[in-house]
Amino acid sequence: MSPNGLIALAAGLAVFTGLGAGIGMSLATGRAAEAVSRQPEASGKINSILILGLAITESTAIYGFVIALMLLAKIV
Amino acid sequence: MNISIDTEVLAHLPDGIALFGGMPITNTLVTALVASAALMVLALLARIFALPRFREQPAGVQNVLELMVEGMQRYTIGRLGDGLGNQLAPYMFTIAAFIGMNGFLELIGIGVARPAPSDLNCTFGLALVTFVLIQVYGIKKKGIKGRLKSYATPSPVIFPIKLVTDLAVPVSLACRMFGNILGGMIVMELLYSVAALSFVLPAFLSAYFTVFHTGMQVFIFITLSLAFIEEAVE
Repeated sequence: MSPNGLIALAAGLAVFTGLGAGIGMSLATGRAAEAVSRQPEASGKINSILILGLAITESTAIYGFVIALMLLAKIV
Repeated sequence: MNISIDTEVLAHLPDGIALFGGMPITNTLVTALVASAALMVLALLARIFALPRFREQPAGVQNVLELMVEGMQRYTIGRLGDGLGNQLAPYMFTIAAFIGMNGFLELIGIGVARPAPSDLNCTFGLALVTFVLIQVYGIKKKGIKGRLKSYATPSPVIFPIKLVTDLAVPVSLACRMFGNILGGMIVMELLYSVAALSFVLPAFLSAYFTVFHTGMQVFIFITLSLAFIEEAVE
């Protein structure tokens, strides 16, 4: 296998971080929906906490994406 | 089609200029300078034409300006309280204005149309400013000794872990904004490169990938900066 092919495979594997981020974000969103349905008057606060949590969760996916891009830049 | 994460070097500053000899001028640097110039002109226009006409009953431009400034102030004060919130509102507003203007330039395609936050150097610079602010406010509140002690609570064993966590803050802030805005830009570039998709559709999709993405990232950057500063001073 040529080095370029291996680099492309590695880039594809790096984007698998999206899997964990997706599961984490869905769990957080589900719990937030539950919390809002239980206490609709607190929806503003729940919303801001949710968005902060989602941002931090999403960044794991973004790290994988950035590493994939860095790997792709290495392909000659 | 060729999309690279490295920025395109347009020219090099001549060696004769001291300090910056041979510094490359990239397309993101040009966008950043254009955005800064546009913001300065807008601020000057607001100062010369809008500010002297401010009245007790706001109307027109005054409404918009007051909405933006008061909105940011209310947000920072809501998170950090009166004193610190008032001090940090201008910095957060500057970041929002700079990145928002970059997104706007990307949208209308002025200049080289590659937004500055799609360059890791730009986002890392912004994240470093936030990092310095966290340390300065933390040390100002507790003193150097207290700041070091806060690393060693609840037990001195976790000191190195907390240190690494703290040093990871600028890296994660920079990579997050860089990855998101570069990702949005790449999706739009891919869309434009396919002839059948390059009309009508980009108008709707750029509303998400350029406007919403950029706005979201600015909001997250500001929220996280405030949260880290809040953590340092509490």
